This record gives sequence, C-alpha cells and structure tokens, in this order.
Amino acid sequence: MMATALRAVVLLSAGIDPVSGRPAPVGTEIRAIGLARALGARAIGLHAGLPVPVLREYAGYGLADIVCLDGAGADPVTALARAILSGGLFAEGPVDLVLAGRRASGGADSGLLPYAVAERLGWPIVADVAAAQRATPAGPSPELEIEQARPRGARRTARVAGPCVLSVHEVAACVPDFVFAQARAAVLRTMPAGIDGSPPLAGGAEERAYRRRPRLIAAAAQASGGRVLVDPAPQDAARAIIDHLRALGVLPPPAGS
Amino acid sequence: MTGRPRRDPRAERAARQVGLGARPRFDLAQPPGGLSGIGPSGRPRRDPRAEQAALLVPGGDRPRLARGGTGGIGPARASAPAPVARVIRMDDPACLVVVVPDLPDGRLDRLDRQVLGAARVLADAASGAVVLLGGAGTPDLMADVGPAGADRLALVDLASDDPEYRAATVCAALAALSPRHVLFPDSDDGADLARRVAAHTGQGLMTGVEVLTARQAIRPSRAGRREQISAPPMLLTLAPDRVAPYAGEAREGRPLPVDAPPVPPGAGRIRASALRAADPATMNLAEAPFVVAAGNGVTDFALFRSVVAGLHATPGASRVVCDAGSMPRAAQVGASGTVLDAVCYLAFGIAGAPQHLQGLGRVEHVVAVNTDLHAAMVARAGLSVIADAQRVMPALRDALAAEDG
Ligand SMILES: Cc1cc2nc3c(=O)[nH]c(=O)nc-3n(C[C@H](O)[C@H](O)[C@H](O)COP(=O)(O)OP(=O)(O)OC[C@H]3O[C@@H](n4cnc5c(N)ncnc54)[C@H](O)[C@@H]3O)c2cc1C
Ligand SMILES: Nc1ncnc2c1ncn2[C@@H]1O[C@H](COP(=O)(O)O)[C@@H](O)[C@H]1O
Repeated sequence: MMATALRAVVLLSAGIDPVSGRPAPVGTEIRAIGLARALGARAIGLHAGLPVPVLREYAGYGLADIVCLDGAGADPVTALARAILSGGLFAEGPVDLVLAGRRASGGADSGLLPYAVAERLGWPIVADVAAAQRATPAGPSPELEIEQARPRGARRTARVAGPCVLSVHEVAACVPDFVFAQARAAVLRTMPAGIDGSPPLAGGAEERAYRRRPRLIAAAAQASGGRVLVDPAPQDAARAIIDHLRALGVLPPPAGS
Repeated sequence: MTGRPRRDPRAERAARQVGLGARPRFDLAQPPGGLSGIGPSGRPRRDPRAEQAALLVPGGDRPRLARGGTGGIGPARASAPAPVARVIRMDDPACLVVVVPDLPDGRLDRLDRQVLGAARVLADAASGAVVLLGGAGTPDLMADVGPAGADRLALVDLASDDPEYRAATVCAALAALSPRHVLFPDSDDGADLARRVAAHTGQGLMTGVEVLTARQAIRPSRAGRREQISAPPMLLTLAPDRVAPYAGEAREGRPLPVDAPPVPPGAGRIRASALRAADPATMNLAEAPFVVAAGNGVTDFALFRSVVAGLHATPGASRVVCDAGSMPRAAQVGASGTVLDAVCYLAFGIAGAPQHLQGLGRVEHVVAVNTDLHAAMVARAGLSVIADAQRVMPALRDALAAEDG
C-alpha cells in the first residue's frame, strides 16, 4: 500500500533581511518548506497577517498555496491554532504536521510562537530539527523519526507520534531550489482570522536601535599565554601538541587509560 | 678644611655589623650610626629598592607596582592573616530568584555560572535568595553551587529524556516556590526548556537577554536591528558571555526542599535518545569542534590526512591549498570559505593572512606549526611550534598510533 501523504502546514512569518532591513524570507522557514517536501508531504503556507508580497518568495521554494489570516494581529497564536484545527485548510482531512522556523527574523524573534501554538493545539513540539523521516510508512497517525541539531555538530534522535509541531534549525540541509514560475503561479488566499480586537500595544517593552556591546572575553582564551617552541625535536613537538590538546579537552585521552 | 662632616668608613661599617660569628657579617640596609634615615649629609635617606618592594602588588607573573596609592600594599597584604573562608548566609529572603542550569555532564558550565551571576544581580537588588533548581543525582554539584553564587539548592530531577516531562517538573517546582524571576541559559536545551515553561504557564518570556541590571533587561529584536528594553521579566534566558559570573564570597548553597506534587510520568509523546557526537571526518566544517588545517607549508597530503584521522579532527585548508586542488573546496577556512565555530584550531604551515584569520572568528584556541616565527598565525596561537611541518606530522602520527596500539 502506498503511504498516504502527510498534510503539513508551514508557518511563515515574512521577515526582514538582517543586513538591509528589507522584507526577505527567513532561512529556517525556507528549510521548513524543504523538510515538508523531504517528507513527501502536501504543504500549505500559513501566515498570521496580511498578504504581503514577500510571501510569494516562499512560494517559489515550493508552496503552491499560502493562506493569510486577516485580522490576526491581536492574537496570532489563537488565529493560527484555530485555522489549523478548523479543517478548512485541506479538503482531504485534518492537519498532520506543523512546521515552523526556530526563530523569526524581523518580529520579536523570541522563537516562542511555535511552542505557544503547540500548547494551544495540545500537540507535542520538537525543536531544532535538522532532518526528519517517517518511522512508520503508513497508518493513521504517522510516527516521525527526527534528528535534532545540537551544538558542535552533535545530534540527538527523537521519535514523536501523531500530529506534532516541528521547528527547523539553520543547519538542516533540505534547502529547496527557488523556482520563479512557482512564485508567480502561487495562490495567496486570505481568510478572516475571526479574532476581534486591535493589535496589542507593545506591552511595557520599549524599542530602540540596536547597540552593539562587547562580549565578555572567554577566560580560557586569555589564559593561554602564547607558548612558543623554537626548533624542537619532532618527538618533543608532537608530545607538546598532544598534551596541549588534551589539556584543552579536544583530544580524547589515550585508549589504554 | 671644607666644613663637611668627616666620615669614618671603618666605624660606620663596624656599626652595621650583625652577629659575632667566625666571619663578620654586615647589614648594609641599616642606617649607619643608628640615626634612622638620616644620611651622612644630614638629608633623609631614601631606599628606592625598599620603596619599590612596598609598592609591589602580590600575585601575577609580571611585577606590578601600585604607584600613586598609599605605599606599603605589598608587605601589608603579605603579612595580613589569610582571610578566613566566610560563607554568606541568607536566612530570610524577601523573594526568590530561580536558576535552571543546563548542567552538561552534571556540572555547572560557563554559561550556567554566568546565569547564576545574573541571578545574583537581580537577587541582591531585592534582598532575595538565588535558588538553583535541578541537579538531583549529581553529587559533584553540592560543593560547587555556593561559590558560584547560589543561596539554595532545590534538588529536582531534570535528567529525563522527555522534554515535556522536564518542563512539567520545572512548572510544578516553580508553582511551589513562586519565585520573582526565573533565569535559563540561552543554550539550545536551556532555551527549549524555557519556551516550554513559558508556553505552559502563559507567562511572557524574554529570550537571549544581553544586558541585565536590577532595573532593566535588553534583548535584540527585529533581526538584530533593534533592541527591546523592559524591566526584568519573570522568565528570561540569558545569552552567552554577556553577564559576568559571580565572583564574590561563597554563598551557602543550602538544600531547599520543594514540596511540589509529584509529576505523573508524562504521556511519553516524545522519546529522545542520548546525544550523539558527529563523525569528525565527515561533519560540517562550520559546526566542527576541532579543526586541523593544512596550508602552503604542507606538501604531503596523505600524511596530513592520516594525522587528522589520528587526532579525530575535521580537516580544513587554506585557500592556496584548495586552489591547488590538494584539498576539496568545502574544506577552505576563511573569508571566502567557512567561518569556524571550533574550540581548537591546529594549523600546519598556514601564514595567517587576514582573509584566512577571518575564518577563525570564534575559535578560542589556536595551535600553529610553522617554520616562520613571525607568521601572523603564530601571533594568534596559544601554542606555536617553529619547525618543519613535514617532520612534526610523522612524529605526531606515530605518537598517536603508539598510544592507541
Ligand atoms: C578576496 C580574497 C579572499 C581570500 N579568501 C581566503 C580564504 O577564504 N581562505 C584563505 O585561506 N585564504 C584566502 N585568501 C588568500 C589569502 O590572502 C592567503 O593568500 C592565503 O590564506 C595564504 O595561504 P597559506 O597561508 O596556506 O600560504 P602562504 O601564504 O604561502 O603561507 C605558507 C606558510 O607556511 C609556512 N611554511 C612554509 N613551509 C613550511 C614547512 N615546511 N613547515 C611549516 N611551515 C611552513 C610559511 O612560513 C608560511 O607562513 C583570500 C584572498 C583574497 C584576495
Ligand atoms: N505571524 C506569523 N504567522 C505565521 N507564522 C509565524 C508568524 N510569526 C512567527 N511565525 C512562525 O514562528 C516561528 C518563530 O517565530 P518567533 O516566535 O516570532 O520567533 C517563525 O519562524 C515562523 O515559522
């Protein structure tokens, strides 16, 4: 039996470019589209906000259909959760999978929204996904096997069943190609969010231009005093290098000990 | 007669004699004739050596003098009795500031200590106590938390594989403690836990805080082009290397019982396995913790690859080497190659051109093997070996092989 295609929703935040400040797609959300394609899912884009032109660029990476929730500014979490549970996104059935970037670029950038949506949906969330595949090829509630990215190239495998939320990491290798014709042909639909109320005033947080501040200098970097060995015997040089690397903890201790 | 007082050097010397051993000994620092500090010319005598010694600041490997201050710091410090290890107790805190550390390998890491330092800032302003939450089953921790700035240690088991269960445990403990602030490290796992707790409790969360004082917290927003300023919120995660770790006198680190209802074992919707280190030979250069790179000073690349394999490192190269086709382009380190995030970088025969050094932006430790003592890479290195790479590499390979075999 052929596996039924997953029905995936990709959350699009429509960010800005950190250097130029102009509207630009967010890298992790592009990878989220790529992950949906890698899983062989049918994917729809979902954006809580007005249909801004930058959403077409996401479409170029492989979304034929993008839904914008008009009037969601007051409470995007509720609006997104309602749209996902409404059953109105896919004609074939309910949503199996929600994909998001791990952090937006151009808003509050707190990375909290996918967690808040998952909490509202009552679904599990796995963050920092580098790769995913279906553990069970078929079945009503698909189980996913996920590679979670951790610092310094480490990975952790996680299994999660049922409808779930995944937030995608920058190191995910699944970057789809941009196809201009797809960007042009995509349909941007607008649905009412069904939320009333005006956008909340920025609660207590004042905003100003970013100021770059120096970081603390790592104590370890200061401590290394710059030892120089001039023309040592090769064996002494090798020993000095190995001992230094062991002291730094990058070289595992010898197998014997 | 000149009218100057006449000196009798023999008598002066005799006046300085100390002891009556077989050999005469003289204390030349002692003022002659017992006339303290008045020289033969009648002017007070200075002893520049003693004055300098009095200004010497103890500690450090280079002599440092505290000029301009009141003299006598050196001897005063040296003769003062060693300070008694004092422990600051906080018996009646006005509020609690909770820290939920990562504790990789069961110990406080650098960021954990910085988070404790930040928590101290908030707690000291409100006469509160810092509570470290977690760490059950890590015996090394007990002695460590007090000096790092924690007044209390709330032992809770956060070592579960299920992130949802960990978050539920933290939420239950927070409900029992009702702290004023909760601080998490903004590491991958710490931020994940913080966001789960924030989503579950409905509290706002300020992530990646870069400036934290008792009155305000600042974090970047809008793609790092703007920043948000607000009063320190209840939940926040602290960015690395922004707040100094606590350096004051040790705190008590007294155990604090948490009477939270036991958290039922969760539905187990997420089953995570243990962390798995990447294979250094094939991993992404940008993520690699230890990179060994070859430059124009390397001629034998088969030897270089065997050394890299022996060191369990990821191979890199300078542009010259990649241009020559001796190493793949993906291995190029530098402005037009990969910018590293490694802990350590070992460079064989690389001069250290600015375009190459740009690729070492975040690398903490550099080791250089180069024939040129004045290469820029040697200036950047913590350990430099001024020798022919073609002779050091075989010795390194053989030493590693001897250890393994
Ligand atoms: C726009 C631009 C972008 C660039 N981008 C990059 C980049 O991304 N990455 C990059 O690497 N370069 C880059 N470069 C090139 C860069 O300027 C240097 O030319 C290059 O890094 C030099 O490589 P190297 O140190 O291996 O070679 P060299 O400069 O030839 O240095 C060789 C070093 O090896 C030492 N040596 C020689 N023989 C031995 C021996 N037997 N044992 C030990 N040591 C020995 C020498 O003393 C010398 O220090 C860029 C240049 C430009 C203009
Ligand atoms: N207005 C929005 N509409 C849809 N998805 C969003 C919106 N804002 C954020 N997201 C998603 O949530 C992720 C994290 O956003 P944030 O919590 O704002 O950092 C983003 O990468 C998006 O995938």
